[in-house]
Amino acid sequence: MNILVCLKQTFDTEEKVMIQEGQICEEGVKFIINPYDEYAVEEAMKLSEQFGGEITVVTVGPVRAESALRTALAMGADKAIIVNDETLFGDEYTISKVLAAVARQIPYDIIIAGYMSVDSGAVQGGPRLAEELGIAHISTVTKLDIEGNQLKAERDVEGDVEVIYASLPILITAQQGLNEPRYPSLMGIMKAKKKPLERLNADDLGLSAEEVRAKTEIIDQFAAPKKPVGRILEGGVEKQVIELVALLRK
Amino acid sequence: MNRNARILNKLYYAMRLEGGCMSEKKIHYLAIGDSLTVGVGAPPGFGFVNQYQRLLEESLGKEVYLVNLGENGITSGELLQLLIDDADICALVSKADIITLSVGGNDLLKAAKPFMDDGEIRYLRLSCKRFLEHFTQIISIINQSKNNSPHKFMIQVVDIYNPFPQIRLSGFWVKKFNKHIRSFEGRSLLVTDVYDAFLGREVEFLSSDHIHPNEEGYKVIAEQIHLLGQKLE
Amino acid sequence: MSSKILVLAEAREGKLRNVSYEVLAAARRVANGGSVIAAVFGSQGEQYVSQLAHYGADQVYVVDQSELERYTPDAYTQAFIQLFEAVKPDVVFMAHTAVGRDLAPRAAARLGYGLVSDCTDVVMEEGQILFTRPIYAGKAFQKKRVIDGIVFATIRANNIALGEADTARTAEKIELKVELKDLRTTVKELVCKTSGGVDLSEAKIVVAGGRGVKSADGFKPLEQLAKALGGAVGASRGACDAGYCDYSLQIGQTGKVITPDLYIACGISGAIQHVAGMSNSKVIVAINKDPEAPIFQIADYGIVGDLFEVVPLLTEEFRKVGGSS
Repeated sequence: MNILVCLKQTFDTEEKVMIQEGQICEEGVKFIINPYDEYAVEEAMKLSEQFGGEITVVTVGPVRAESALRTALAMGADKAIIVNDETLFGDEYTISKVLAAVARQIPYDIIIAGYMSVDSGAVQGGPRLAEELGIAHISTVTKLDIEGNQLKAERDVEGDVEVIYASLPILITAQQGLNEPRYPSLMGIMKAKKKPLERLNADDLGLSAEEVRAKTEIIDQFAAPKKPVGRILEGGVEKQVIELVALLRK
Repeated sequence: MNRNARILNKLYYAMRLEGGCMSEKKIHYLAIGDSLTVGVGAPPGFGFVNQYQRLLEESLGKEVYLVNLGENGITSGELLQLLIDDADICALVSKADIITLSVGGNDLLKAAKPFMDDGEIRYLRLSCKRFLEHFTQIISIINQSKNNSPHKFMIQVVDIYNPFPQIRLSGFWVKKFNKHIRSFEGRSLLVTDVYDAFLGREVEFLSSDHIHPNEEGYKVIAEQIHLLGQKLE
Repeated sequence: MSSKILVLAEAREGKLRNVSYEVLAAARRVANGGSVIAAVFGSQGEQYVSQLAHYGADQVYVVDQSELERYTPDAYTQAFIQLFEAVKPDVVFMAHTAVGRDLAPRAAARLGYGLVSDCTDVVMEEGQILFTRPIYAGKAFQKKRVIDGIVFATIRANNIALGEADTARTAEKIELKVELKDLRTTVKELVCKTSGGVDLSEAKIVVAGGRGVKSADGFKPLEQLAKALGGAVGASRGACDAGYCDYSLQIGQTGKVITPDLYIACGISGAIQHVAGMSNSKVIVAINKDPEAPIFQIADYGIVGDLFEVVPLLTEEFRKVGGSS
């Protein structure tokens, strides 16, 4: 089974985030694989262990994103591709077109991506890519079973669970709970060194910057307003309760 | 030159030297870690790594062949990524008879800043959690490197001292990190008692930047590590 | 420059979801003298026409076909495209719900447009529509606009203020038949985990429990308080992992991201992942035994104490003074 995994390098949004003049400060920031994409890589590993086949991981991003790819290779992916051509960077519209161009160059039976990236939180990647390629998609998958060409997926829908039947080829997006991503093992690290990491640009993909130009633009970025420090109420419990209710009613 | 290129340079140098002399009498010592491993705060040759190397040569009567992969400012996450990115480092790990590891100080320093500026504790908590995740993976990779190795090996981990005893709660957090480190103690991993050794004697052992040790402080660390090895015999 | 705005409304369990009214309100803000057209898929669309009119729709398209009862990407995308071609709007708004998150990007891709998703504010500035949306787990915001093609956006629940319903307003009902074929995925089963009562993702008041609740029974006092306030019950991941409640109550980066007016955190320590799910709440109250719990750092008001003592007292006090603010 040929599996294509789309991943994104983001920074750890749980850490302190500094914004200066509308841009996030990358100084001293820790970059990680988008946590939802880790589920995608792990699921690909599980499928490959079950069915055999090759896993290709792809990302669109600057050179530093290669360490995200190397980590995926160390987890067990077979090949990595990075599109680090800046003329192909843009918004969700752009990225999906670029990823589609990559996907058309390699054989795939299933495409797996994280359901959202924790930095932008746009939640557009998966469905857009599926549409560009003309294949079906199932998002926020928490359980996946494949038999032959048939697929049964459970997905999380705002708390409810839907059981979906479909067939390959398909794109699925991973939600938390799908699996527990493995740590890269030493074997994985040693093998990863010999695995191919391809760097592609617009010419390699037969794309022009013009045709993938972004449709939206960011005008400004700013930190969330700092909340004034809260108050811990004092006095006996009953007194605090009465005070709290009075404050809230205002 | 970026970090990876610097490390690779050290590696190639190390391997070329290595190739020249395959003496049985040599002990391979690999030092991994942050600025403490580099020896920032003391004159060149007087960080704990070199001082420890000399102590070893003295007590063992053998030549100690050293590869120092210390990297200033590196955090546990970055050290882990280094191990993942470069299989050559793992190869060095598997060859080493002795490994010293100093990491975590920078994780703490980074997370302490929002705490000291705004009283924000959550980054310290997060940092602690992340440190445990990274440290676990680092030790796991080192252990795996040793699985197929015929000779015995030892990982000696330098625990973290508190450079800011005057800051409320700083000891609490440093000890939390150290607790995580100590949870890995076992047959082939030992942890120093640098925190206790430095307690109350920061003026003596810290350099003028008040963060890194001075030559005397590094001597204490080297002796602490040496003490660990002696515990084994 | 007036616009024609298409709003896809959503119904659940026989009622229009509150967020649909909010999306209509957002549409009215930028209509600028133009028209707001609502649409609803699935059966019984008829019954929603008047409500949609009251909240601002000038026309309501009803697309009533059995394949649209339950959302599937193919059926909804095909129906939406045909709707789009019938209406020919300049602007499309949807709610950022499970349906909106899934349908909007696919439909935008099919039509060749951009999409600004998960917006918490929509304003008109110098003839342009500007969107504000959270990024980095709510730690920051960005302002975006569309620079090419039609304006397509999804709007997060509980962030757009609703005006009063104008019961005098009426809207023209238009029935639309769409052709649906080659549906590649089927929903075989639905396991409903969310119980009735107030929908957590849209609740204005949420009472949430963490590990401090200690047991499934421990949620009972929280349920009482939520009831007294007309709110919903939520939980931190810790409480769900410990088995005190179902994961459908989970609030956090993975789980639900909510923006209630009042969020009462009981026995929740305040781990970042949880905070990411509720940090934009307007007022946060924390009740915890541990004075050093991080939740106090983001709370507007805090009570250090045993939730089993404090929560019932709160419930009683709220009942006494008669309802929520």
